[in-house]
Amino acid sequence: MAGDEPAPDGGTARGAGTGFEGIDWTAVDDAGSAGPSAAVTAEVLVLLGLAAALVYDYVVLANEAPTVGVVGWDVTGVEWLLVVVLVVGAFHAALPLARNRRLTAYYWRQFRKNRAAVVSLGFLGVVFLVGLVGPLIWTAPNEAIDYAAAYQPPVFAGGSWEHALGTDAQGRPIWHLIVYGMRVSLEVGLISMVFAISIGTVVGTAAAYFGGYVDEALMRYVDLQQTFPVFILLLLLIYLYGASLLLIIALYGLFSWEGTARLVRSEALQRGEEAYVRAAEATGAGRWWTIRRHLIPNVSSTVITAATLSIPVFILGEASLSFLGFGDPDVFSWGRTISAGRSDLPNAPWISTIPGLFLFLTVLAFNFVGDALRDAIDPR
Amino acid sequence: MSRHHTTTDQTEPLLRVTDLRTQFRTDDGVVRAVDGVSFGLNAGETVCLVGESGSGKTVTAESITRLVDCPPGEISGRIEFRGEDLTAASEDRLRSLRGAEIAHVFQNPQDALNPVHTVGWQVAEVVQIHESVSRRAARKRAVDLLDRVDIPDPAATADAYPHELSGGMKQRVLVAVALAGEPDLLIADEPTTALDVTIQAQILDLIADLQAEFDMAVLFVTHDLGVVARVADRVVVLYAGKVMERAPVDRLFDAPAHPYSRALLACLPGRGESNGAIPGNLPDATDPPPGCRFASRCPFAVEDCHEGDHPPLAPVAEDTDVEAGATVGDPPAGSAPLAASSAERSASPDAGPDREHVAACLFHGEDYDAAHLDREVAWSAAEGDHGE
Repeated sequence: MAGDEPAPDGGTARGAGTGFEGIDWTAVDDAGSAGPSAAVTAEVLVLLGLAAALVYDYVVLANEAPTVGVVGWDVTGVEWLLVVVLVVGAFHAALPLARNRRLTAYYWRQFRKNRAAVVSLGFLGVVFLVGLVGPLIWTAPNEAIDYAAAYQPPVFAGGSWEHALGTDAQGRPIWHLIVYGMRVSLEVGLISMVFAISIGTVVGTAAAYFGGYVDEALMRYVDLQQTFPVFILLLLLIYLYGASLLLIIALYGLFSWEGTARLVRSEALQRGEEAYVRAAEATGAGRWWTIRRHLIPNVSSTVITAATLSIPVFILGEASLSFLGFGDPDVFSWGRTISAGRSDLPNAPWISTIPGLFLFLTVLAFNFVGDALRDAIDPR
Repeated sequence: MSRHHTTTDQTEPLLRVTDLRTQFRTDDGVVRAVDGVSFGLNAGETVCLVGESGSGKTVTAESITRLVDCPPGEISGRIEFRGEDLTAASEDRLRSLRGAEIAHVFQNPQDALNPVHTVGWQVAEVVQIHESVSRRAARKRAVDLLDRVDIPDPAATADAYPHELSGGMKQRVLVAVALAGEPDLLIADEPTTALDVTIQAQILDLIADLQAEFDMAVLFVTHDLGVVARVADRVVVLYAGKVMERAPVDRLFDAPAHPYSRALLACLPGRGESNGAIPGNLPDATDPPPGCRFASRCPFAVEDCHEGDHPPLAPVAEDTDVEAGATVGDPPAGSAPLAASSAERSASPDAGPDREHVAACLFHGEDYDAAHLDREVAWSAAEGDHGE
């Protein structure tokens, strides 16, 4: 996590910030409401604050000093994006859920019926928290290199409590590698998901609602993108510019929304025929208003399910790239750790298997949660 | 509620539809769903559009604010709302009219409410669309409106989701949604069809109350003549996209002029000897046969009924024994003005614009004797003659 991100990355991060605001469409509301609500104002303020902090980081500090000096955290480009995604998530997922207590309680009762999903949600909660704050608590693996402590087995295989999950060939504690891998998985999964789902939802609903040439143009582009070999483009870009996590995330986010777009389009086509959409038009609602207030909330179950199920795909994708050696050399992805432990499989199997287990459990948990969510939040 | 105004302006109706044609281009040809419909609606008045399924009544109602999808739909003719031609109005203009000036209540309350939003939100939404008010103020208005449509405990119900309410409650919410913009014209498209009979009566009473309170005009679309008798001031009988008869409600029930209207009334339980159905089917809307649209099902039809255009609307004499054709000029096809011509006035001395009674039947025209329609006819004969 060395703070040597090139300036263009910062620009991308900021561009993404405005992109999310754009997707919120507060500015597109042509139907005239009484100004933005308190939540929207707060969100815009927070994002503006982030933008200011970003400028401060890149212009004033110029990557010479850690951004948050107290904890010595130098925020990198991807981390900026993660913060933006978390802010957007807080305002668009956590806040509405907290506001509509009754609805949230209802969803929770439905969700609770699926035991495996509840356990999975708990596990993902731990992954989320540890991935978020863990790197501030435990030192980076490269700063914990200790050749004297190499190849220590985990505690259940006769190791010591000092390195409960054992150490790798360079004496780095596996736990530290796991924690930093959680952060990477979090970044890849959440950021790519927000990109892909936002674009897919907008394209899908727009295609369904406007129909005609708009539908035709958007969906033919989706066809094009689906046949486009993103993996080869990714390899090409990695060869040209070097592997970076931001590049991988951006490519996943920008080139893997076509499935979501198709799903959302077909769902929105069905919902668009519903009487309440006509009824909304009969009350004088404009097109964007109808899309935002009536169509998108009703395709939300499809969107949320697609979102939950796309996260493990992105995590797995990044892990595979890292496993193959195309990953960002600066980050400790689980795929990279698994790959590094391959040669030691006979004598130190824990180096590969423990990160592999975490990867497996995380992907499995997301799938369980996605299934349960689909059952719980279907509006019909 | 500042827009209260009484019906002082008798010369200009609130809504005047003239020669409305709505057609849909389909792969099978042009479907003429509405084919030259004219009627008018004064402020505070209730006009019913009556007809069987497929007669074009819903398309007529939805054409007024262009709710029909265009394309494939095409709307022509004139729709004057307070003198402004809505067929020429921009989409923006129509959007500002919808909800605020002209509101709709739809048939099926189960589907017309969005399942993901609370009902209070959906009422407040309309307030927010048309006025710059805070969310809190909009919600307060929504609760007031829910109270006004007699929903018990409106503040709590405002936070309920549609699936938590009964059908009657949902229809009340939809009425509240329609009232939120304080419209001058309410278009109610079969608002009671999906409800059971006792709830139907409540909703009809509610609409009547609100109509008096807000001085709204109501365009009521229904196939239910029982509802018509209950709510209508005047009635427009539609068949296959054409106006068959326009009459004050008492005239329609006491002295229906068009054979189709008579057939509809005969279908009411306890009226007439009909077995409750009119034999035959609606003519093909893409390629209607020449002559009167109803001719193939009409027991009185003669040769001339199957030729030429659909008959023009002709005034119906107050008493069908009087020579109908003697004094009356022939109004042009499908465009009889709402205000009765002087000739009509002379035919029935007390006829104001609201007492207009016209029927599109040859027998009410110059060359025929309307008394001919009073002879006894077995309905099955029509079937035998024209073989549907």
